[in-house]
Amino acid sequence: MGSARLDIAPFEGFSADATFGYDTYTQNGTISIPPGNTSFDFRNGFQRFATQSVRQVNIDVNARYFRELSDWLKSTTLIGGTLQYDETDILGSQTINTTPNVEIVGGGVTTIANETRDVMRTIYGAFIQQTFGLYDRFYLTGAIRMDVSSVFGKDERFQFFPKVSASYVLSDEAFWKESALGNTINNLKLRAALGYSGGLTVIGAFDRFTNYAPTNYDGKAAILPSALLGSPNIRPERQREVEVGIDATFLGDRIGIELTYYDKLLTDLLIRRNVAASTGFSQQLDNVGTVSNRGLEVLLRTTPVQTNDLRWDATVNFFFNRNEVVDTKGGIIAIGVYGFASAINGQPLGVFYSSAYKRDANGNIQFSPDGVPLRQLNPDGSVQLKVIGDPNPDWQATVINELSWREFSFRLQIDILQGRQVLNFTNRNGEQNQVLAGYREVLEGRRAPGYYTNPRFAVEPENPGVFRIIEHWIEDGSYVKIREASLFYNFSNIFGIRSGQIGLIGRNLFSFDRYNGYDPELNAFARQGVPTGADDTETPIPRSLSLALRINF
Amino acid sequence: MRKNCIRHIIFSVAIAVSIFSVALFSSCTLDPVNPNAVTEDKALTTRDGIFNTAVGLQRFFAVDLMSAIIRTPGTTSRELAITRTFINLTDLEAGGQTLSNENIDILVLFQNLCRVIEISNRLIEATPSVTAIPDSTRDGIIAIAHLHKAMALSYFIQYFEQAPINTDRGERAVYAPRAQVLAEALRSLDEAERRFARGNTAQLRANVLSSGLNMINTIRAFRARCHLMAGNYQAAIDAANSVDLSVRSQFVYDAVSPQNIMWTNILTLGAGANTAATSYACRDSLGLPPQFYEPADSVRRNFFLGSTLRPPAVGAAAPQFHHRNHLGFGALNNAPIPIYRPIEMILIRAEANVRLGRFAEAVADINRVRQKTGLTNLAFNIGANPNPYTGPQTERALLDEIYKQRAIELYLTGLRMEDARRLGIPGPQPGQPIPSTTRTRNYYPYPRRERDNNPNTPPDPTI
Repeated sequence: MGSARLDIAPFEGFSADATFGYDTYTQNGTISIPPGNTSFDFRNGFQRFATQSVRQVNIDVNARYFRELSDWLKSTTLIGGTLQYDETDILGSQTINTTPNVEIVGGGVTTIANETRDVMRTIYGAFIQQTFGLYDRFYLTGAIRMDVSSVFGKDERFQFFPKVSASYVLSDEAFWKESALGNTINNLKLRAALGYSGGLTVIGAFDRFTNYAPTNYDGKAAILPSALLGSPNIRPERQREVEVGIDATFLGDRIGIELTYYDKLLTDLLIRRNVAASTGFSQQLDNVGTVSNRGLEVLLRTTPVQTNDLRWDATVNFFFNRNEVVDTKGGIIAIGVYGFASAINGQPLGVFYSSAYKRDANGNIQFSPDGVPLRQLNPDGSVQLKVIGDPNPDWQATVINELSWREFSFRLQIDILQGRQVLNFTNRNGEQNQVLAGYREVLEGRRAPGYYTNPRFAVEPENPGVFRIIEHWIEDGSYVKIREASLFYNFSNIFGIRSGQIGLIGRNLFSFDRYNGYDPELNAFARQGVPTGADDTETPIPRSLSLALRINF
Repeated sequence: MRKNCIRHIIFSVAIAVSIFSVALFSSCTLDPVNPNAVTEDKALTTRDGIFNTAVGLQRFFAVDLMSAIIRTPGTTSRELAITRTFINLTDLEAGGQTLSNENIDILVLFQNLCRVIEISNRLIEATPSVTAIPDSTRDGIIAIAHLHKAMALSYFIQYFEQAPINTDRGERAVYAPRAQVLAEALRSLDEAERRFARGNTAQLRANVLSSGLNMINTIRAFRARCHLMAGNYQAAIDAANSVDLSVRSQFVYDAVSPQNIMWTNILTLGAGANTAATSYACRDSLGLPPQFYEPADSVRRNFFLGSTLRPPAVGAAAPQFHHRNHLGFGALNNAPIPIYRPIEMILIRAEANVRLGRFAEAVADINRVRQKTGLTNLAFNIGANPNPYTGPQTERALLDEIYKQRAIELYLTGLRMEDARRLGIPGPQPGQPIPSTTRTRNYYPYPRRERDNNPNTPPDPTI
């Protein structure tokens, strides 16, 4: 809604600011399905109204102090604090068996659900950072951050995150500038950093408690413990990151390169894990493991052509990441995608762990006499589960080419992602339920009647039909996509217009992939930090063409 | 220069301290009170918390647990057919050796049984020290908790070979074999009856006890059931005789929430909203094989079954897999469901008498069940078969007859899996196709998340 900011600079080298922000907003949603529709569950109508009101307070205070302590030593001190408070109320109400021509929930025969919530979180933070600059080319920074969050218990609430970093602008040294190397490599900077960070808002305001939710029975007030077992001693996740890098430019800044290698170690991975049902609960928030991420990022910027009329810029951004789970607690932990995505020691986070094809010694899939793939069983007759796919990509890249010639400018962005597997629930469920084209092959007799589900699977456990072999639905989700192409014409001083631009922009124009579903990029289970590539009847990312006209008078 | 440095540091510290002071003393507390739910501490130490948890326990049993008990073992024992193609449901219906320990319906059944034990234990432990509640009412609440724990244990041991007598938040619950679980259930029933004699206060009835639950008769009915399952036949007869057959003890529901769980879950045509959106339908002939099907039983069958006959959703339409809509105790969204059906007491007596070799007394009770002679005040009377029992008076024939009578009279009570095993009805064979009127499992596997996290989980049964 509004914010106020105060800036002061009382003496030389010192400045401070304070920002106070208050925001409040309300969102309303309605669903109105009239009676007499063809839906299965809501044929007698459905009305829902929900409203969410959010209040947020942000206070931010920062101070800077810069001083030249001597002619070779400069100091910058930063100190600051933040306070975030947010509070959310949700009220939803719905009904079925509605009155025709009436859209309010109260017009229904039975009002099914009322829900109110009042969720508040408070997060404080404070930091102090000190930077020393030596001879204008060697920089050393140290910082300590402290965060406090109300979502964690008293003993785990205060978190300290130290950080140090150093950089050295080698190209500013006199010997470099004077050397032949200095003419080719105009700029060279080496940098390294070590730091700790953590997430303080990844869980809900009261998730650490065993809560008893209100209900009623026989006209009497009632409460029931929730299925989430409290865990008062859970800690925030903590990540240690080491980063080293080189930034360089060549040939009069025509070529620029940035190289970064990182090694991140996330400890105390915080997830809702399944607990033994004999606890009387179903899940518990727990710090269950350690995740290691190592990767390389390369950014290459070049300007291959630069004349008065023509300029061509090309940018390549390449990155890959290696992810591994170590040190988990309680065996294999199901973390999403209906329990198929798992955290397993020694494997990337989120690998698919489920039933697989029966294969011979050479890895060839085994089939039944009528051509249906078979399922691998354990020696005791139970279904063998194993790692059947990995949703983490091997590498990714973005290539951007920008061309400008006189009044025309052209931009082309290509996104590449390779070596990622996707679990295609859309095809699995659609073909099983006979609503997608795959089932046609069964109807036309080109596949065995029991291809998707063998009606005799209870007595032929090796041949249940592909619906029950999850590996069958793992697909290569690699793609090369023409993410964006645009062509603009710039004009000026015409019909009283000072300047303007007209152009055509296409987004998501083509995808080159071997994926059988609509779009390998879909992720029905997107959640922060956990890669769970799975497609489950999601709407594909749309291809769009737009015409743009910008005019300045 | 040194002086500059020191000034610099002092200044920094001063700002840090002031920021912290503002933060720590501001109104944004780090320990907000949750307005949406009661914390466990408050739930188990205050008068209202204990009252409301005891009401919640009764609701959970009537809604969540009974729903799982009727649907899941009901499917395995062929009382119910599956009308949708969800993998968990079709797997459950197929049963057999490949029924996975990851089946969600088995998990829900197991988990809800454990949750009842957990909530009951919390109440039994916490209630004695909440002195804001009068002594006598506290006894009444503990009696309710003991009864619900005993009922949960008695169901648990019908579906799983072993059961955890007590829940453990440390994931190390210890399992006990059948005899020990039933003995524990009987101990809890005795404790419930003893405490309820002092605890049946006006305050309990106004604030805690469900208006449908008749404590004394329910305790005695479950005592008879547990003794029969444990093989204590004379004790089973004595307990069955102590139940007043005219008393209705029932789970109550209302039109809004909670609604009758059969009405919500099982195909109930012509009753408002839930006309087709269910995953379950009744099997024609109640899932009994032809030799147990008596045409003369139409009155009792038609108490449960509606007139709409539907072919199954998927697969060949063998007659046993035709579906009918359900009436019975789920014809209305606010109809009550019996906690036990009093006729079960006569069936318990008949079975115990067969086991004790008193065939003539057993036949007399079987005919009482069939013809309802002399049972004018029987609560939840579903009607009669006009003909008496005419089969041979051998142990095998009488046990078959008792199974048939139980299958009809106790249709959709969750008892049939245990009844079929106990009465020696042939079950599924490992590696063999399962006939469409035979139960598809003898016992369920323990859920995978139990096996993954509790090393005390017993081995799974073969089938």
